[in-house]
Amino acid sequence: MEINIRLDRNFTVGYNRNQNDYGTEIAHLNGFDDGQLSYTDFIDNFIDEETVADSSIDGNSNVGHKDIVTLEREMPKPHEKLLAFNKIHYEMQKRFGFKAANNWLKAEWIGQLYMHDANSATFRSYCFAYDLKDLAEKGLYFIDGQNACPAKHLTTFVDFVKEFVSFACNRTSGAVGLPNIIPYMYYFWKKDINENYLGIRSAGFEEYYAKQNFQRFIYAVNQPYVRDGSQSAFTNTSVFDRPYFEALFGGAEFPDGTFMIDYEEEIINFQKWYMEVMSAIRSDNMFTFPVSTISLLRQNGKFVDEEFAIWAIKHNMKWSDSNLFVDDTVNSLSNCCRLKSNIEDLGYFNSIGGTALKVGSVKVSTVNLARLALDTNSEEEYLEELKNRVWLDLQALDCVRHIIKRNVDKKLLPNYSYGLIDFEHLYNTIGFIGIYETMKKFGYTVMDELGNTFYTEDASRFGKKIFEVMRQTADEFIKKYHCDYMINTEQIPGESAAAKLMLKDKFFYPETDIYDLPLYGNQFIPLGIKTTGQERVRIASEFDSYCNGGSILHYNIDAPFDSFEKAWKMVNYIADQGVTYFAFNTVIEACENNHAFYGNICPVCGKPVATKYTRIVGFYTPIRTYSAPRKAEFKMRKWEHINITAEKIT
Amino acid sequence: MDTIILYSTGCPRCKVLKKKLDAKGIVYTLEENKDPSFMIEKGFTETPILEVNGRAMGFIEANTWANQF
Repeated sequence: MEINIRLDRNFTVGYNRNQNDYGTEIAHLNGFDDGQLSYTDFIDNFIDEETVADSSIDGNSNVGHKDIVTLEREMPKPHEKLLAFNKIHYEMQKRFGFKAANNWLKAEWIGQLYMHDANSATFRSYCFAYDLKDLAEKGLYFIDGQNACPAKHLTTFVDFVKEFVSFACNRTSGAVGLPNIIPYMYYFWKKDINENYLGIRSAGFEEYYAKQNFQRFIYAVNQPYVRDGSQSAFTNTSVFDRPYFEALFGGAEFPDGTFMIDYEEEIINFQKWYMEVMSAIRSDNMFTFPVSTISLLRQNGKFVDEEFAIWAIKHNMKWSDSNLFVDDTVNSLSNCCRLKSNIEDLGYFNSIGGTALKVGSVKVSTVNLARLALDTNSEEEYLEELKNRVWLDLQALDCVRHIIKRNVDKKLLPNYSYGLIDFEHLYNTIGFIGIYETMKKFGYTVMDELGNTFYTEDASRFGKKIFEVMRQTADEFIKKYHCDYMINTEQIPGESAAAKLMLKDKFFYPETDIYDLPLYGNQFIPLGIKTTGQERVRIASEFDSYCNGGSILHYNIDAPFDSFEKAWKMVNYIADQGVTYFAFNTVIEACENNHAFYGNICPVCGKPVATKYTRIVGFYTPIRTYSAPRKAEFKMRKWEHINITAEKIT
Repeated sequence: MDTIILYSTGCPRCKVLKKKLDAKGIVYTLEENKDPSFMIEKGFTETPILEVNGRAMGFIEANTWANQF
């Protein structure tokens, strides 16, 4: 029996040529070898592999359960990717010509470029930070055939948020950002308290009622079947200091016509309750989502809202579980009330979290900078070829955007039809990985007598040029094709891409000294490379400004801060160097009951350590679910003795 | 009688302030233009601006002022 899949003839020719030219090893890394495309072989392999991440063609550690549902979800991915690539190739032929289409396919095949979430690339878009205004005012308005009504109570609103997250995350491939969930939860909470719903006020249960509902939300998004029936929902939430709150929500109105701004102090306090619940739950049940960000405005070397900054930094000491967004202008998160005649961007965007309201990305396609370094022999050649690859990358992204637009026209994506997302607020995102390997190849790194690696002045100079070329190429692309959208750049988390791209590069360049780790790093200096914290901060502050925000500095620390003064000093130090988005990343132990703690024995149940959690690329996940290359990389990560370092920082 | 001018680009915060002034029955002159250059020329750095007897207030101060009116 033969089962046919009808594909475009030109795509088939290109596909077969790449199969023949580069063999089964590269085909396997692409998810296109015979065994992966054969369902029966896939099932056998799935059962044999230790984790889902190891058997999937696009694995991630968020899929923690290996069962029949994950098998069903993973099995068709190679075929879905084949269909997606066929579609992109076909679209590229139409829009940019046959040669561009073939060049793109080859670049993808051999690892020069990497289309993320490839299996769903032509079906759904990537991620978005949603505005919950409509949900609060209209209820589940996006579900057909039901008589949607707005929630009347906080408990109902939380149920609606759960449905919303499920609906949204199953129609996108990336994160569901919920920047204004806390103000809306506050609104329904206040309403219930004022109306003495279920006697909560007369019983004095106001705070308990709020915290109970925060708990319901957090547990809901972490259930391992929300997305695709096989993984939890990648969600992120933010809390804001007063200046950011005023900028983001100053113009917002609650469903009853009152204004958010008039409840600023109460909502600030409500945010603190939310964060307290998040922290408390970890001791009972360590979880991954939502990824949390604390946004703080800092001007002239001081936090503008110092009271909130002190609270936030103190709060974050326990688990280091929030990312810190520190900028010197509120415009980065809210551009609606800024007085700039040329609004240049849609607001800060990072696929990990911390984004502005109503901003997202259609798709990320990455340029493998490590490979570029291997393919070229001089800075001039590198920069010239970088331009070519970014251009090709943008052509592919442009096609993906148009294909998804057509899906919307065909009414296949109700998340767009109902206005949850709109194209006006979506970037096309150029991803990049391999800056460190580029610098190493060109001899722009040095090592001191203690084995610490540093970037040289040439690295700073060359890095700047690289980012400038990427930006200029994007600007030229927009101009040439009269694009009605914006393009941003992001240093990708690259959970599985980082390993696959290195394996491809090793195939083509087995003899080179840039492979210091089992995969490429997603930091300017990878976490497995020994360097000083100061050097990481220096490089991040230097390069952050060139890549318009799409990066996060992970500062690995060996233990929690042992005093507030040290935590305060370190946050101030990093912010003063100009790093906008950063996180202290540590290792949190968990027992078999999933209680989180530091040390060898669980203080709750007395059980020993069963697994450890750390940020794999952007969020805390258990190491037992990591893919084999990620586990190997984790073992090489360096952890700074933070309490000693903090003492020395002046 | 106070001379009150609301400078607005029609942004969300402008709308909130306008609603508050209207709800309180405050008499004011509305200078509104979607193009923010007329406000930039006056040296303003944010929207909206409420000017009361020549004193310019940003959104937060103006909001408090309107609430207390």
